[in-house]
Amino acid sequence: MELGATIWITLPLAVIALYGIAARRNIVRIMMSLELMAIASITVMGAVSSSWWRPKGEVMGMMVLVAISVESAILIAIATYLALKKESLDIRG
Amino acid sequence: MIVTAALLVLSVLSSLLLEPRRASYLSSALLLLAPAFAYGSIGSLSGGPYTIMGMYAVILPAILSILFFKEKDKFTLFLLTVLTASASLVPASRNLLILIMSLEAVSVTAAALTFYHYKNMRLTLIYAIFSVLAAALMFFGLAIYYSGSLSFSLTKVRVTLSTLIGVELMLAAFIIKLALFPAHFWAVDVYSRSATSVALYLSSTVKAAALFALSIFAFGPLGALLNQGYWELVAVPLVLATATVIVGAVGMISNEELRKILAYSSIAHSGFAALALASPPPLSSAAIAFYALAYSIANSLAFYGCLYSKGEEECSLNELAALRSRPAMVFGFVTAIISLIGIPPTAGFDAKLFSLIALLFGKVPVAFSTVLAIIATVFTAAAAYGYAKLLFASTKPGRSMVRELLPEAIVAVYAFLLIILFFKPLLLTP
Repeated sequence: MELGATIWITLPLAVIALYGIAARRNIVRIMMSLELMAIASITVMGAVSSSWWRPKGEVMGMMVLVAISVESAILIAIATYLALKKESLDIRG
Repeated sequence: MIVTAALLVLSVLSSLLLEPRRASYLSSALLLLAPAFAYGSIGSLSGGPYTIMGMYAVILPAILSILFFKEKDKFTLFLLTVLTASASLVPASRNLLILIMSLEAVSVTAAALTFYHYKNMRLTLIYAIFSVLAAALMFFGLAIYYSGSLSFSLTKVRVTLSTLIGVELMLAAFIIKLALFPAHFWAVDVYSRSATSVALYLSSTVKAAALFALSIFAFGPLGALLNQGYWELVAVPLVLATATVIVGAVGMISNEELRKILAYSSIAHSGFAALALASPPPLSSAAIAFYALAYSIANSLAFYGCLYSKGEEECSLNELAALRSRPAMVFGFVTAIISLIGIPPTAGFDAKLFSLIALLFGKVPVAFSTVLAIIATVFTAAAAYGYAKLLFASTKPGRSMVRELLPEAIVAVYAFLLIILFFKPLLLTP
């Protein structure tokens, strides 16, 4: 049995997130898209864990959270620099 | 593996606690020593010949950056050392989750390095956004894969629709990480405009780590699916890899700037290594791993030629003539370029040969793989014109350089390593 319903719920999240990361030019929107992608991944892992009682899925969810936090920290550093130097959070600005 | 892990931690600590110049020597020595003890296992990290080869593939180029980056500051040294320690965990990973986490630890945080020297935020942004995009795809692909396969193990692969979608998403993430066409633009910008030692590091160490991750991925889930007849999974990546070789060759021929030529060379090599995905393991995995080793040493020597003659600044072809005054340097540079072209007796020839063998004797239809092999070979031969520009530039008479024993000794050793690897290629699997 596969996780049909869960995957159908998370796919739109993932597509919106990928569009946000690839096409948006505002760094805050990119960070929001990244969080959406993390939520999509963690939802799938959580569903797998509870459906099949596989605790590794929960561990993976935690590790994804840590990795996404590191990425967000780098993006926050870039956003702070842009805000101080260019007074804009737009990448092209 | 415990001694290896301890040495890696010590190298990071020394970069943090000691004065930068001393720390660079001590960290380099500890990093060089660490793979020698990579036997046994800790959790999902496993030692052995493959791991040792992989660790040296990421550490050897990193040593050049750590020892010879020009503005010795503590933070850059710490970042270089900690990234190298993380990168050396990639070839030791025997579990998809650990593999992807260690790879992300290297590639995402490497964005911070691009800020060094030029303080160019645009480069950092480009690198960070592409890394984040690849990481997002990788994590979502891993989650979908896990929902189908119910395991992160490299050997236990259940074939379901979710597994197939997950593997395809992870392959898409690898395409961005390796800068394959059409996601190659970031690499040209980052490799040609950041400081030379950073470009050396990103195009050698980080790329070698990504290639080793691809090698382990090809050994695990992708290989299992290929063995069950799902060759369509690699059809699009193979076409993109061939297109990457074309883009790299055209870029090398049409550019006159040294760093841009090397950036396009790096792109073309990623494409050529990815051609080995056509074959199931162990050939695909071994071919990609050996390609990563040969490429990382040769590419780091080529970039180091630029670092040695001009420092962190942009280096023109004419300035490469300074290498001629130091025989060891010109020997190392010429050997590296010959290896990058793929001419014997250098490891680059074997690497390209194994990649082509993996493509031609893989699971994809013969007509398809033959066409891809012919296109890739023709354009790799054409790219030799781009490398010829570098060769002629380095052998012209130019200003003389002061003798420096350590760089010359290291370059000579690396160059001899490329020649030894031609006679004794390492075809190892995880």
